[in-house]
Amino acid sequence: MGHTWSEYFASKTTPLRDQPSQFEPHFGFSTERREKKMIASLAEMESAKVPLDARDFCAHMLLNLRGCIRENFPFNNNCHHEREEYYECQYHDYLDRMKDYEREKRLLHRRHNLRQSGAPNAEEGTISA
Amino acid sequence: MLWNIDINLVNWCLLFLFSMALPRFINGMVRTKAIYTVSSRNVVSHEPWKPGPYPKTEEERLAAAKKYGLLPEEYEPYPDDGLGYGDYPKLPDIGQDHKSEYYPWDCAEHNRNFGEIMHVNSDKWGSDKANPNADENARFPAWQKLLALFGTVFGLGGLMLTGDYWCKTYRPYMPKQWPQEGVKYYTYSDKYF
Repeated sequence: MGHTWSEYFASKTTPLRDQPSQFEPHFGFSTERREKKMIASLAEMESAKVPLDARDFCAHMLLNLRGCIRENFPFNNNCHHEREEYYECQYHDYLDRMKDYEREKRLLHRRHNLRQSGAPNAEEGTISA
Repeated sequence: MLWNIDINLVNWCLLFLFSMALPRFINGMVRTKAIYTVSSRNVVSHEPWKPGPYPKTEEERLAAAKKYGLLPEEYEPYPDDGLGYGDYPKLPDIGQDHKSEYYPWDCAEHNRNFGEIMHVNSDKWGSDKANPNADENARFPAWQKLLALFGTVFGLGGLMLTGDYWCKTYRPYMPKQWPQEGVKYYTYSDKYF
């Protein structure tokens, strides 16, 4: 069922909204995942007056795009590559969130099933708060 | 050059004007006057149908009731306040739409019998115009109509707002990741970030 339904009727196996992951980030991977790096520094973003809601992990590409536009104005279309790159970065940022959600949901299902069957490794991978 | 125009044309016009057009015009005026004089006297005078003055005495009142074909207890003129209609009777406010369509009317087109006294506002209370009994003839009372209108507007609006709220509240992806101190995020991408 959809999220609206599952949050109330299958809350054991549904990632609750606005909640961080309950599992270790590398659990289930053969190799460690790469850490997300913030490339643009705070000083750079402040000097370029980047709005607060744009200071995400793609801010460096936004800075690149704004700089290109500044050099090419009014021929902004010369920066179409930078623009597409920025959008692609935003898309991958969103993709990470979607994949994290799916991973979280499957891990919750797995843990729930293991708990039901009384397996000893049910709490494997869970962050011990 | 100007005097080279066809002088015959002017002549023909003058001939027509004085020999045919002018006598015909005068003749028409006379005929019209004669027709109006005769007809206002004998044919289509409105005098017999005009209401008389407001009845002051009981005899005048009875005479007026008889004139309009009403019983004396039925007869009631409009008040003589300067906006009244003389001795014309004040009839119940019934439009054509309020009269039975199954009664064998003499004039079924207007739901009216021959010689029936007409209401002062009968000109605007025909089936094709206004209806003073709209509330009685209505299929649903006014409060039900209003309820249906506002129920639809606010009901659909509420459904849309609720669905909008739900669709924006429950999303199948994790919350937005912001770079901040002490929090680590891991990516699936090998190109970005």
